[in-house]
Amino acid sequence: MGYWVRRILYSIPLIIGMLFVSFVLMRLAPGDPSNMFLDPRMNASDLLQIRKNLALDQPIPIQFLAWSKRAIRGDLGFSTATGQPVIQAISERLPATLLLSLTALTLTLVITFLLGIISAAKATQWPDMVITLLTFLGMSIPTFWIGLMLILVFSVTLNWLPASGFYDPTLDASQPLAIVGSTIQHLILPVIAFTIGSIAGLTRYYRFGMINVLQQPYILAARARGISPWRLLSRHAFKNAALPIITLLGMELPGLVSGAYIVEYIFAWPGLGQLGINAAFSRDYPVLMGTLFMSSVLILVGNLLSDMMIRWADPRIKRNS
Amino acid sequence: MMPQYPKKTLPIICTLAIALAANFGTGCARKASTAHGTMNLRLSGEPNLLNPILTTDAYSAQVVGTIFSGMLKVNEKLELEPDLAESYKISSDGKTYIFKLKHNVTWHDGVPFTANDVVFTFNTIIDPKTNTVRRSNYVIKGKPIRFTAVDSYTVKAELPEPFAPFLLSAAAEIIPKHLLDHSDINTASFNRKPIGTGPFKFKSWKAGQHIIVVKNPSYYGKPPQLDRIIFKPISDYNAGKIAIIKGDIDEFDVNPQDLDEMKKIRHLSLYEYDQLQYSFVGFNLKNRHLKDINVRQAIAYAVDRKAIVDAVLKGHGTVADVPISPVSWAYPTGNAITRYDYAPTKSAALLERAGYKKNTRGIYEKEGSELAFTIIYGQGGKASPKNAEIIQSALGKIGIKLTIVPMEWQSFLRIVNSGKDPKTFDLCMLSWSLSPDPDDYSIWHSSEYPKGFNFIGYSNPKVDGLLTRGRTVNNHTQRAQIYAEASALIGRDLPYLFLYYPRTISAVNQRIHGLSKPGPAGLFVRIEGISAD
Repeated sequence: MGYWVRRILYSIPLIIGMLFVSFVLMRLAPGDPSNMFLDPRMNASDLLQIRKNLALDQPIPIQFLAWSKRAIRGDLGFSTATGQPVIQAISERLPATLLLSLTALTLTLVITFLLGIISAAKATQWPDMVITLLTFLGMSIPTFWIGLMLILVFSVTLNWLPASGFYDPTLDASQPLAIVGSTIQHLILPVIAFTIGSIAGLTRYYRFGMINVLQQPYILAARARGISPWRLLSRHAFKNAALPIITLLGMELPGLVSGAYIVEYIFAWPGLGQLGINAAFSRDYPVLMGTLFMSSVLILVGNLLSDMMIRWADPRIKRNS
Repeated sequence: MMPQYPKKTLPIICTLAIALAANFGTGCARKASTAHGTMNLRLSGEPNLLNPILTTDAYSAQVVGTIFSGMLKVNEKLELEPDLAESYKISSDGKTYIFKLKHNVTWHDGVPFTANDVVFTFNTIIDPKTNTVRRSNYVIKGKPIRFTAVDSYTVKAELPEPFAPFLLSAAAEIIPKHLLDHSDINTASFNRKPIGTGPFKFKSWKAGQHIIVVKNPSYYGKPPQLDRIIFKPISDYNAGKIAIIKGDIDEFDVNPQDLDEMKKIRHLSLYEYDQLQYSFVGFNLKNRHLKDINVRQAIAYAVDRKAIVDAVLKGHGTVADVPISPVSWAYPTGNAITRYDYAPTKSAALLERAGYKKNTRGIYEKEGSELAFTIIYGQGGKASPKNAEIIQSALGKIGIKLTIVPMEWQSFLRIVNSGKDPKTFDLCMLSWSLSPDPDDYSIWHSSEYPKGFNFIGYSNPKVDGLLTRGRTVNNHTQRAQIYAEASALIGRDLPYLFLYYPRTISAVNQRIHGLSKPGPAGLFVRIEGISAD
């Protein structure tokens, strides 16, 4: 227990440092939120007034202090572009992002493990070669192209699935089941686009891990004892081969929440990726800081989780620490 | 030997996926698009907020226009006509405006609309605490316009001095006092669930998904025909194209390159119309070479702008020669306009007359300084890179070197709007979207440099005089003449290389009826008259 508490406490100064550096870097980029307020008919003095209203005329450390003071009280401020509370802007979009990324993650893991096992079990034979070819294709085809092709085939040509959006806007709250159904329809294409990209890389890792494990003496011993191939894979090799994947997933957690911008853009999916990118372009500092704050906490959580899982998958680590 | 794996897994997954997709396919009827009385409109980005005095982006304005109304509104001919006001009068000295308001108007929440709402709206805009770009429209030479409610249905505006463009500012959409008094306008929750007086009432806004407005049955004007309008933010152009083809949206601005493809889609009608907009290359007039009109003229004669219109806009635009759109009521008559039509042979003569000689590298120079420039533009537009390349190649042919520097928008704005003299660019490419009122004081008056939008440093005392006079004269015909003369003078001086007036090509689903006459004000000027099968 003490170990985890210490781990969490160590992370706090790290988060503060990270946020301060981001805060400064953000302001080094040319422009600021007041550029949104440019209008050919506007006097220069009015622009100065808006900068003052937004406290942009203060020195950066003072601005950061003011932001931190509010953030500690759970107030992430208001978006300079929309006037909306940042927490509200994030929480409005979080469900869509989580739905997309968790579905894609689950699918990615299941398919990765299957393909990785097949590939490793049949290493250098034709199933492995086919999978290798497909994963390389998956890695090299850009996500936006996959997305557009999916829309072209399944939405425009076959008219099976909707091309964009979250659910049919003509449905209202009185038809919850219809909304769920419509959301699932809208979810399919973005999830496929999202998954194809991530399966490819992870499968390569898992295949490699599996091949390594299958060559271990304990597997040979197990096989000699006449254990069935399926049991051998599922009970003896699976967990050990998953170790590198667990570490990778821990690092991917913040990415899952910050959203897959390209997929969201193509499928007009209302997630956090769009919010972050729009904020970056309009130099909406409060929203950017809000999303960064969330990501930094998630990096911490992701690392903790992957540490926990590795300890579960590999008892040797627990003994050593 | 390697262990065996369950052989059938992969085919099973594939079959399942396809079956699943097929099943959903049948349930995926296009309800949204075919619904009678519903119009679906694309927004090319997510609106920031829906408060008409705060909006800065076109998407917000598109939605706001259906929910709110102003004392006056701009019609298809870009003229002002009464809306919430019944009539208005301007005093003979041009300093007092009296607006008589309609009596039967209520806000969407049922509260009656009065003169207090109008006064509140304009005073909120003038309040320095409000983060709005509109404040400058109501402050003349540092003095704010005074708004008072004479009675419940009469508003008086007192101007510190005559200011003709005020009438357009008086058309601003009005917000409700009873909901916004004593709240921080910049962050009010009203901004995301607005209440207006317009033909449609706000219903819902799902961030990143859609905004729905529904018919306002107690609208004071002609009753709206549509039951609802669904606005869908679709940023990607190609996604928008698919949406109009599939019938998910009912209107879409088509790139000229896609026009032929769109013509083949049976359920679409295509409309083409002029906009209040022009694209240009601005010359930094503080540059030692570019301040010489001979050099600017040499550049203008070298560039075949008709060829640019044909190549970049596929012919869907017109070559521009003056800083005012041909659809404006103040556009100068044909023979008043100086045209620098393509004549590259004139370029060499002009440069040589100005004392330039070609050096060994084939580039013109004077006193050891080459005619070598950079052109900057903000990334994002489809046309700018092509325009820049054509201009680069044209100038290369006559012996002027041009380097193209595309920039991220904010970096571009930092250079152009630096507020310093001189500014660190040679040429910059940009478009101006114009207001229906031809007053472009902030772009051309010499006092607007270096702070202001006259970032090229243009200065012509005669133009300054005309721009000042245009603001004080209220007579429509006189103003038209003043601005026509100013535009013609600017066109002759060539502070910009005016490129073209682009035209909008709109694809509209044929189930939509009641569009207004295609023109710079768009197809939905009278949104209440639109219906959908």
